[in-house]
Amino acid sequence: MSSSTSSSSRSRLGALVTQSLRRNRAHFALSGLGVAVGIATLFFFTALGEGVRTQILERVFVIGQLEVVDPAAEGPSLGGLFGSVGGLDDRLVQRVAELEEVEAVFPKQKLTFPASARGGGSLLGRDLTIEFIADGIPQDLVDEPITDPLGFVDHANPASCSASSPCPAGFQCAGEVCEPAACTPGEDVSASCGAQAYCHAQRRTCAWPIPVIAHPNLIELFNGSLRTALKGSQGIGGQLPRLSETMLVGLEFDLVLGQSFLGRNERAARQTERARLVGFSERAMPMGATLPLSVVQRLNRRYSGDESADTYHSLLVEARSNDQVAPLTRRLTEELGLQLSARHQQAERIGLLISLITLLFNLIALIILGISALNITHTFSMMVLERRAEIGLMRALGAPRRTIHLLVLGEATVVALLSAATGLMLGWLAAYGLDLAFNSLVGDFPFKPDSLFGWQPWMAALGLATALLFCWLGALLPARRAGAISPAAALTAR
Amino acid sequence: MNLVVHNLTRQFHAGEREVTALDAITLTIEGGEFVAIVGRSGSGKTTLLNAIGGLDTDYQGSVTLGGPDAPALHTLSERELAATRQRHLGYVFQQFNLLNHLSAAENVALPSFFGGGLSAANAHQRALNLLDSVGLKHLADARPPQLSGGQKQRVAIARALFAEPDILLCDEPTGSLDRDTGLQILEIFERLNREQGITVILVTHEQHVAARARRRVVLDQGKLVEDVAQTPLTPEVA
Ligand SMILES: Nc1ncnc2c1ncn2[C@@H]1O[C@H](COP(=O)(O)OP(=O)(O)OP(=O)(O)O)[C@@H](O)[C@H]1O
Ligand SMILES: [Mg+2]
Repeated sequence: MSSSTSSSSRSRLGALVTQSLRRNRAHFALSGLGVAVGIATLFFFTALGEGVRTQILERVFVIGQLEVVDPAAEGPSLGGLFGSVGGLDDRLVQRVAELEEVEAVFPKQKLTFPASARGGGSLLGRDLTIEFIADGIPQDLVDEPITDPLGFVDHANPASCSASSPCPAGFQCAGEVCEPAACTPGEDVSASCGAQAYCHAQRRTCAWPIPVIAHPNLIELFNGSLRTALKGSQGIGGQLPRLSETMLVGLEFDLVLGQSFLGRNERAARQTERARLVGFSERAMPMGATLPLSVVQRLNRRYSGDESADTYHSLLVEARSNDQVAPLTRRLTEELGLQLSARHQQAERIGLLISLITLLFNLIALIILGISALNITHTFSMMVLERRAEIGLMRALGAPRRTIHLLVLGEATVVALLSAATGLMLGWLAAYGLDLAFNSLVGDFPFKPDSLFGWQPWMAALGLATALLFCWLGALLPARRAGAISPAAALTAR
Repeated sequence: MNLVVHNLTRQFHAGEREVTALDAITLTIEGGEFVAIVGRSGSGKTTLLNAIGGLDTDYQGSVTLGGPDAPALHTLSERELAATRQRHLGYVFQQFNLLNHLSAAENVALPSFFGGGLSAANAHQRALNLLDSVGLKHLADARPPQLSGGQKQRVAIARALFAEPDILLCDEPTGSLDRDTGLQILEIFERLNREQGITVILVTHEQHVAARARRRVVLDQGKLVEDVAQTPLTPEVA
């Protein structure tokens, strides 16, 4: 037989399948319904699991990055393979950066002395003084564009100078080091100190506001929880405005260094500095403020000494790719004796929990599909029995057994395609409904996502493949039965 | 195309009982013959036709289609046997066996789904021509429930002729029809036999039908008890 012959008879077989489907519409629809529900369930929960995972793990925690801490600082340590590391210093940063799985290392350091912030009067109607909790991160860790002209840059970082290379605006050359230039408070200093500087009232030198970034979740937290909780209460809490990023960027406030509600630094005198919120970044501390690392190091050196200025509190380690995270984790914890930060341990646990819940519901979907496959076996067997004479006739007219198998499996394929499409649509509709209900019934809360679901193209492919698998499984036995019908049945069956 | 049945024995096991439906039948039918197989109910006529037609190969002995070198049907693979049925054999049944959800033309073209390599359009055209040859062109789009018994049987004959068979196997083709309609169907068989040289093997229990054949084979309790040539009774020309 030529290939054109077989391809033409294959397409004719399709016509035969279509005819039989049209005739037994109700039966096929009924047997496909279960599969559709199963696929809908599978699709729904896979997308939900994926969505929740993305929301929680990738928005609240960042995957692909590890944050490690020195276990000695957090608790008892067993030490790594190569002995306990001597704290998170520049040497260790270098060592981690040289690991092959590592793309980049970003050291972080917290403020190690008491400080408080005072300001906000322009927004809240009255100045507020709060404990200032902050850390410092490398400037290049911030990927978000910083629109404030000050930038997330340490302006007051003294550089060396010589006769040939003078100091930048606002500095003067003292020996070989640049020092802030003198100025007179109250005068216009933009010419002598540069556009971003001001004249520090006590020091009478040019000074630059300390750039501060904050985590966008703080706004959510404020708008979603704090504002709602304080609504109608007395004092300024009762009339808190709804905040937005644009409202806050550029806000200046005073930092009182060396003293706060909680204590007072003995080492150096209390000092007031101006700070400015220059932007929002996912890289900022979730509950606090974040400054350029060099600023924090300089302040820590002044208020807490050299040792705390040279020791980092954690390292943010970026893996070269997501699949390198696991080996990297092993390397960092087992070989270098470091410890994942509590946040990342928590992320791992939550990720596992979501996976387990998704798995559980997918298992339920699989049970539904299994039952549907049995239902298909039953319905198809019944239809094969009903069509005994017809199938016998086809055999008598020259249909080989294989054609009969293909006929029944072809019917199952169409049922699979239709029920997969229906199932995907049902799943999507259910998800849409849940999102709608979620958005209108559940009030604002921090990190509230627009959709609980994470749709991926592979989920549709998975739904289709699963529907095909179960429909074919269900139709296997009926197809064999149909093929076993003797052509003589055409003559004897009445 | 010759048909050689050699020492054919077919037994059925019905629970404890063993029924010998065919008992050592030997028979040769040459191409172009018109044979009537007669016998009482249960004598094995349908069983013999199933064996000849390759619908059943579960027997002792052999059935050979074609020249002396041709393989016996029971030695063929399932595929080869299906292809043999498709190419060489046509079947006409007492109950017509039409598919009610298909039109007359679609019923006639049904064999094209299983071989022959005709396109849908060509198959349809061929079906229309065949319906024309049995005088049913105007009912090509009708469905079987809308047709009379005689019309149904003509559609069935057209279907049997679709793949240009060498042998037409008919099991009580007039059994469900009244006498006059039956005679009209018989005339179609006679014409096919006379004009196209198609071998017609026809099972019947009606004497006036058997009388139209040129050879009469009689079965009784699975045995071949009579095999005679006869002068066909020419019908009164209408
Ligand atoms: N599939 C079967 N299983 C068991 N016994 C069978 C089967 N087919 C036929 N028989 C038996 O074989 C014998 C011959 O049956 P067959 O159908 O060939 O008779 P027949 O001559 O065609 O009869 P009728 O004129 O009634 O159609 C009968 O006794 C019948 O009961
Ligand atoms: Mg019979």
